[in-house]
Amino acid sequence: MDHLKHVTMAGMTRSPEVSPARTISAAPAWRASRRAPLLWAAGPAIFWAFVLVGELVWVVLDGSHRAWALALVAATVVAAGFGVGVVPVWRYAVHRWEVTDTAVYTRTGWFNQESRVAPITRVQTVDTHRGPLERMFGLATVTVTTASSAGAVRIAALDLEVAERTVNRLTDIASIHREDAT
Amino acid sequence: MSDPQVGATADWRRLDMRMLLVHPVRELFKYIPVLLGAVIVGTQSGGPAWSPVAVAVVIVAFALTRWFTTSYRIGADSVQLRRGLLQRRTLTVPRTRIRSVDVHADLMHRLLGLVVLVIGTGQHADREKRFHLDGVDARQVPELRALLLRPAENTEPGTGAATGTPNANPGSFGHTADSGSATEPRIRAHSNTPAHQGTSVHNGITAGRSALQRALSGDTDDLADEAIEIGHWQPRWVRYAPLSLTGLAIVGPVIGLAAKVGVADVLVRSHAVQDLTEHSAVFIALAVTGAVTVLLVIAAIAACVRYLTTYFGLRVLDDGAALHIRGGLFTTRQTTLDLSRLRGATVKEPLLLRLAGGAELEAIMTGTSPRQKLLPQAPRAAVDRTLAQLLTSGSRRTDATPAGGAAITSAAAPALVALEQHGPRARRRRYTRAFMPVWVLLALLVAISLAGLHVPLWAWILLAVVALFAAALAHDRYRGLGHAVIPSDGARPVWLITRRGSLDRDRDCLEAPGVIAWTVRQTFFQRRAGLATVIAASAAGKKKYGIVDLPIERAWALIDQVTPGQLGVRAEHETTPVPTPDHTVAKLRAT
Repeated sequence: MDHLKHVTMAGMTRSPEVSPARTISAAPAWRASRRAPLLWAAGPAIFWAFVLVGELVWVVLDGSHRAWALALVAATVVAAGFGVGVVPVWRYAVHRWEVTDTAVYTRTGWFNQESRVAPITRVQTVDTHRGPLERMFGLATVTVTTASSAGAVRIAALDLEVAERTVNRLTDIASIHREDAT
Repeated sequence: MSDPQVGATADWRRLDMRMLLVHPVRELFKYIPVLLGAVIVGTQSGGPAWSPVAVAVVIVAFALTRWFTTSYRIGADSVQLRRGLLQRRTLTVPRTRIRSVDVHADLMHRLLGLVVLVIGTGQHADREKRFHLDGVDARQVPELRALLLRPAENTEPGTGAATGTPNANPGSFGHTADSGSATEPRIRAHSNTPAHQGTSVHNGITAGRSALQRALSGDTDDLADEAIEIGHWQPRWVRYAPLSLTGLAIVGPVIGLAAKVGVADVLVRSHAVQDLTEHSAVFIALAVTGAVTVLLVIAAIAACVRYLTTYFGLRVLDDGAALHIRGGLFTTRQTTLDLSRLRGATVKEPLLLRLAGGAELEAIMTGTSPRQKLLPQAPRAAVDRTLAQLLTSGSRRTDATPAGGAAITSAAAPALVALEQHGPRARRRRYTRAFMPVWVLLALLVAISLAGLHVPLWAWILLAVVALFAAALAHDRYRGLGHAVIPSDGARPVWLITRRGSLDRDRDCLEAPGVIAWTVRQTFFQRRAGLATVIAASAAGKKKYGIVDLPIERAWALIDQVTPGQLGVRAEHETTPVPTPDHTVAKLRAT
């Protein structure tokens, strides 16, 4: 039992020399593309445009509830302004990524934020994905998967050229590590 | 092999003849609804009396074709199974990919002396795609197993490891990834010696397989001599069975079916129920209580019966290379789990079971059946003992460790070590979250009374009861929350232990080599409280293992402790290519 206690104590008293401020994981260095906020604004913009059009049709057609309808339109404009104007900028401020020789790091989200790290030795596939909006803005998303379904790392909204370079680099580094990835 | 009949030949072979008896019976059972339909249609339409017989004959004939259309072949470097009447399907499994050979037999198989042999390749496969030989002579099993698990002669034994099969993980045990050991299993495989000594012998899939095969080549009883029994089921553990509410899961569908058939309608229309309205509230309450009690008793009995039939005589054996689980009353099962797939274990303690001093044990494995149950509901002491023995098992028992009790104690540490709690902020968050429904209910009641309506007394009592439950839940949830990191002692890997939950509490013990990636999650409210949820992603078990509401500064330290260097340290002189905006960084680091 004494030995056990020793083990536990060693675990608890170990003071980490790594302060969070200096780890790459806490603050990866590279930002998303400059056009990323446009991409993140475009999706919500389309959605809210549909909602607004619907509401305006209601305002025009239904005369008896005009006050309610106008209040709803006002609320929608505020929500849309937040979704299209604020959130993409907020996202851009949070979004970071970095690929080192040993690992892939990302930080994503806005209201809820997430930092991820996957070591390159555990990388299984590297995919590039381009949706219609992403193609419009010349962007791409690189997804790095690992053997764990919970361990995929998505690097969103990269310039196409940066994405291609990243994929090449990742596959190059990953091919050096030929050990099993589970 | 000694018996030429099961030797590695290129001949296609049929399954056992006795399956000609099994298939028709099984298919007839499966098509009972069709037969009933034929009988009903036959009697109602006044059709010929032989029509059900004709249907039965067709079914039997169809069943018999199964035997004639199924054949298998154990080749030099692959195993093939061909089956199907209209849709022919050939499954081919390279022999280097065979990870396990499991055997089970239901009552009919056992009466005829047959077993079903399932070949596991470490990949998820549905029933159609699974390689199973349904119906081979039980006496052939040891030979077949040995044959299937023997490394193929013609192929290079190292290929399995070199191409990165999901289960080969050099360095998963004992020490962290050691690239030098990659060549060793290959050499070992050629010499084909049993793996029992040396520190890196167990690091190769091939070495593991040879030991596996060695263990399996013997008969069932020979195995017992070599292997250590790490878990032995006892009939009196059945007292824990009703505590898992599995009984309700059995009784529930029956009630649902009854309701569908129209029992509920009959009940509602019956006189007894219609007269209920004339009785007092006390009588109704008694009737409802009685009904619920009867239901619970039936559920408990169902759970006990299921427990006894499924786990009767369960034994968990460990021969250093594989775990062998066998048991069952009517349907017997023999499952073999390659220990090189093991990444840890989960002790499950749902509330009721925990209150009774019981627990369940699950192995965390990569590949198929990632959450393999080792022990069903059992006393906590028995679970701890099995877990400790599992973690000190052959593959981990290396020469480098100090001998004697100390080694066993430290190896068993993941099972026993006290967990670190997550501090007052995590506690406050438990209460905030548990009290959410209380605040909603309170606001509702206040709003109603402000609107001038009368709020009955029982509503306030209900609120108080809900608040009490919320407080108890929050308290227990915080007590359950915890984690520990056991540093490596040189021979064993770093262990990460995390526990969470109240009603359903899991204590997950995961070894560091099983951790693939990390996620640090912070919701807006967690950031304000300076907390984070750390998720260790793994290829094994539940795939993600969360450490909930850990103070953010401890979160980074934890990751660094489990997987040193993975966070990546930026050198002091190195300048970041893009300047970081202060506010977001401050937000993330706020503590």
